[in-house]
Amino acid sequence: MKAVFLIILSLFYFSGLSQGNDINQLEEVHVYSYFSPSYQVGYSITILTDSILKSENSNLSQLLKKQISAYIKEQGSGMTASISMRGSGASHTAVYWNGIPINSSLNGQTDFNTVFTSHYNRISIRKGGGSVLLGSGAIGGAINLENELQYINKTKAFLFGSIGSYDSYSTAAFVNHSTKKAALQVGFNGLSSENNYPYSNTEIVNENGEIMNYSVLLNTGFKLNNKHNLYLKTLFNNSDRNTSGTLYTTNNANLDYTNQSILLGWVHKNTKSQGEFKTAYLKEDYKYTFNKNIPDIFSDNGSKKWYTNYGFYYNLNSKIILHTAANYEILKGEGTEIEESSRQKLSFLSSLHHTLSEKLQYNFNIRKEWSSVYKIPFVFSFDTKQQWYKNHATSFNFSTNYRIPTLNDLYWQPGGNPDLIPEKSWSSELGYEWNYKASKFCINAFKSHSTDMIQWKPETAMYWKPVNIQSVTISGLEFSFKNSIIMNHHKFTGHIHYSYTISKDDETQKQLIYVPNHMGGLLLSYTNEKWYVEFDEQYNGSVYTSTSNTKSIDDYWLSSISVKRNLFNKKLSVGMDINNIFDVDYQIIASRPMPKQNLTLLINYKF
Amino acid sequence: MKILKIISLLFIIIVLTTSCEDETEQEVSDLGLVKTAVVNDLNSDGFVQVGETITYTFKVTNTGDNTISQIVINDDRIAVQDLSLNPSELTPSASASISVDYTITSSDLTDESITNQATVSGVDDEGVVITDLSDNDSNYADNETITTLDIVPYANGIFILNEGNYGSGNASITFVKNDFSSIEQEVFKTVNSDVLGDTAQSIYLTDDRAYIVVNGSNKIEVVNRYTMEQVVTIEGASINNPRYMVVHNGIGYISNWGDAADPNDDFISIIDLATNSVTGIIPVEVGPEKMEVIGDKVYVAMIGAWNTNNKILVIDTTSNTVVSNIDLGDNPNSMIVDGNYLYVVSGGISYPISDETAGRIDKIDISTNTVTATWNFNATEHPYHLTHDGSSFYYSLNGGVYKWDGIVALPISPENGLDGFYYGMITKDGLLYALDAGDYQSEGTLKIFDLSSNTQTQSITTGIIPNGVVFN
Repeated sequence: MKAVFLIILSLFYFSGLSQGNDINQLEEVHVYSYFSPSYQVGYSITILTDSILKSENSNLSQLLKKQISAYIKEQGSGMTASISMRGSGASHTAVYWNGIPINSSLNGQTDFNTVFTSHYNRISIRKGGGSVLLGSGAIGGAINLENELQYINKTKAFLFGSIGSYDSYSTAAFVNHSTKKAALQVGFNGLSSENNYPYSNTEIVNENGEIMNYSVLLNTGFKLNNKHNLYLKTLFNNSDRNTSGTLYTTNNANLDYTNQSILLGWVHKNTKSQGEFKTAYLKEDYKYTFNKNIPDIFSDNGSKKWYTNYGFYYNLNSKIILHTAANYEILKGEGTEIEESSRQKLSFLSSLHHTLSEKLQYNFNIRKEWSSVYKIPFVFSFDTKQQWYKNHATSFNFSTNYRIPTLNDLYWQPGGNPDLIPEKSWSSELGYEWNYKASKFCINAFKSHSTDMIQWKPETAMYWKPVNIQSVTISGLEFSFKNSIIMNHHKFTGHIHYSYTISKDDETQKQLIYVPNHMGGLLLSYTNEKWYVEFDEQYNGSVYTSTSNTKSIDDYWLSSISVKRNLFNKKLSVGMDINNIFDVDYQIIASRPMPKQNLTLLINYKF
Repeated sequence: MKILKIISLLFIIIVLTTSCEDETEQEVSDLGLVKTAVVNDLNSDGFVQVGETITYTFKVTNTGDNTISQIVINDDRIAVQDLSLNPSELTPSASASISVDYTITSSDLTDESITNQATVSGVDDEGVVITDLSDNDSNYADNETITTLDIVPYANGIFILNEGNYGSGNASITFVKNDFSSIEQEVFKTVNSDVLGDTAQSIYLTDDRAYIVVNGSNKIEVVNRYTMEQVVTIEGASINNPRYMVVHNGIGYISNWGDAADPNDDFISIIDLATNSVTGIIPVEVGPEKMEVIGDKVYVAMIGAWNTNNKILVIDTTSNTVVSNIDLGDNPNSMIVDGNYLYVVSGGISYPISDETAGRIDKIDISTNTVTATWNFNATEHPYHLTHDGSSFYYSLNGGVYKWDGIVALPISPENGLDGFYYGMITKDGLLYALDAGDYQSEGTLKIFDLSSNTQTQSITTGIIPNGVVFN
């Protein structure tokens, strides 16, 4: 890893300094999409583009904590991480890679610490229920990781290297080359860390926490003519991590997770319509070695998924867009704990996007899905946005949603329960938005109710079994305020957000464990021709660790600062991040202390 | 003026004559009794235990003018009856003492103090019986003696061991007084200001110590069983995935599963309790679990850890070697010694379904180490938690508690009123102590049932995932 890092680093010296154009923020293209705020009008959608994604070599956990104050549950620093969006569970945020669902078929989650964000041009975060358009699992929200191919005759590159505390090295390279007819993207990302930070007030260090993640992408597209283009996107991702111990236990295990995704797409456009055909093959493998020193005793489970989708948009007139899509999926799972199993799914959806007036738009969507294993409910959703005079707008959405059981839920030995049915949920949201020049203020109130939620319960003294048992009611409020001020060459931006969430089990009336009531964040930045300075403050409210709400982990404030010096016309920047500047002792999961103050030195080259 | 003088004179005369009368005509017989109590801390632990003593010293003083004889002391509360003073006759102003030892009983500890008052009686030279009630320091006052018993914090009750969630470091111990007058959570943490550790598997009591086997933290916490004060922590390479402990002749035997991944590194560690150090290990097959000391042998139930096993190993403590093994059903999980026999419940393999095996009970003749009888369960039945209340066996199966005499066929139906999926259970003195771990992510419950009527008499909140009870 160090060698790779040094090679990348040396690239900085040999790179020409002459090429033009700063890397641009992708212009906001108004294409109908499930993640487009222009069309999904009743939803809160945050879009992060290159200027943010290509400034650091972050993983999805770090990015979302900073940008949207997401609650990320990490099993120790750098270990398996999942999100709780709007008070929902780890498998209730559906993650997509270029529109293809990539949540693990085995455990229903994406490990947010293994997703490198500089791979992508655009990351969209859509909050609230979205199963009608997005399918299973989009209950609390959905995230799309997108590589957009543009045919604009330009070469852009991004090179990044960093050295940090605890022997951490990270490197990233991303090259985007395109002509009017063809486009190519190549990306590499690597991270290695000893991750052996000390636990405060003890003599213990974070043992067995070593991390080695890397990821390679290759995307290519061809514009056949003005109407047709073809693309191929591929991603290989490997995360080889030891699983760290805790304050009171040691661990020797290793988790080696690999996924591969290949997507072939064809887009055809007419003046009034657009169709897109996608077919993808996704493979994932989790290999868990109980003791890294005894490599021949392990648990190894994986899945393969063939996913095919065709979506069609038709502009009936200037006010109405009709959309319909069909989706077919074959899934196979196999491993040491999962007997060979397969299931198939077929779904259809239809959608109406209607612009009643310049100020009022709505969507109405329906979906029906069939599975070879269980009955999936018919779902529908409605959302609307009304623009009022002088920069005020209100929005509303209501949706019914579902999540199908995972392969682990169904087939894990011991315990897997083939009689499980999908979880069901409804969710609704009311929003208000105020825009004035560079200021934006939003407030959203949301409520949802989920039933038949799958929980693993002790079946005998020897094993647990999942059952459709829990129902949960979630309600909450979130607000965000953004502003930026430009004075001559000085630009100041500020973004503050806060959310209050109640997520209660209907039976016990207790808050769910590891779902905080309060989350908040403040992100301030200053930039001029030569300098970029950013201050980030995150507040994580206390979380309960026992279902009776008698035990909890303390809340904490986490501050970090990032200073970068721009050189050579902003092409090169060197900088330093100080994380946890006030040396706060905190835990996300009980008995797993997180790193105290730590440092990263970084160098970043863009052209 | 004259009248005043006469009155004064008269008054003086009256006073003088009266006092003269007392001195000359009235002689008094009187006794004084002072009682002192000293608690004898025989084991010097700073606390009172049953069997320790209180020395009561009775000091009798003749506070009168006449010799008093036949002096005896009575104090019913401490069973002192007509105790003769030596000498039993005291001349005026003379005094003598006598001491008795009183042995403290368990009911005294429950009361946390002893209140008593002695009576001394004697006969004066005119045959009049003279008595006095005791006082703590005065011959003339009569206050009862109150002896406060500095009782140990954790005697006369039960410890509930709460395993906690693996990885969360939330193992704990709950203490409940026998009369249920108090329930104290997290006693180890309270006394030692430190977390017990991760996944407490079992607890073993010796005369004065408790050995807490903390599986996830790979250590044995040695504490004073009455104060919970930490004595020492036994850890190191020879404590790896520890499960249970027994003690024989000052030597502790701890079953260890070794590394989770390795079925070939399981062992029994041998601990010298005098030094709390590991003096050796006995390598064994996969999955040693519960143990019983019978004579100079240790019987180890081989539950199989993450694999499977199906036997009892017999270790000779004189040579610390495995001298015999007894084949049983799969995964023996609990055992009870009853007379010359050892009853072992094997749970059978409950997964994967394709390899499922039935549970069974074996009766082993200890003198020959052979199975003399076997009772088989149905193919999908997996019993646990064999216990014995002195007359009947009880075990847990599929959410029911079954009662069995150990002789005839296994019962068909569970006992009414005792239902529950218990994570641990034990019977004692006609009561069933059953541990309900609830949802395994919050406090559990200790349910106590009266086995004469199968009715629940207590429900006590525990820590997270209670797995066992020991009687202290």
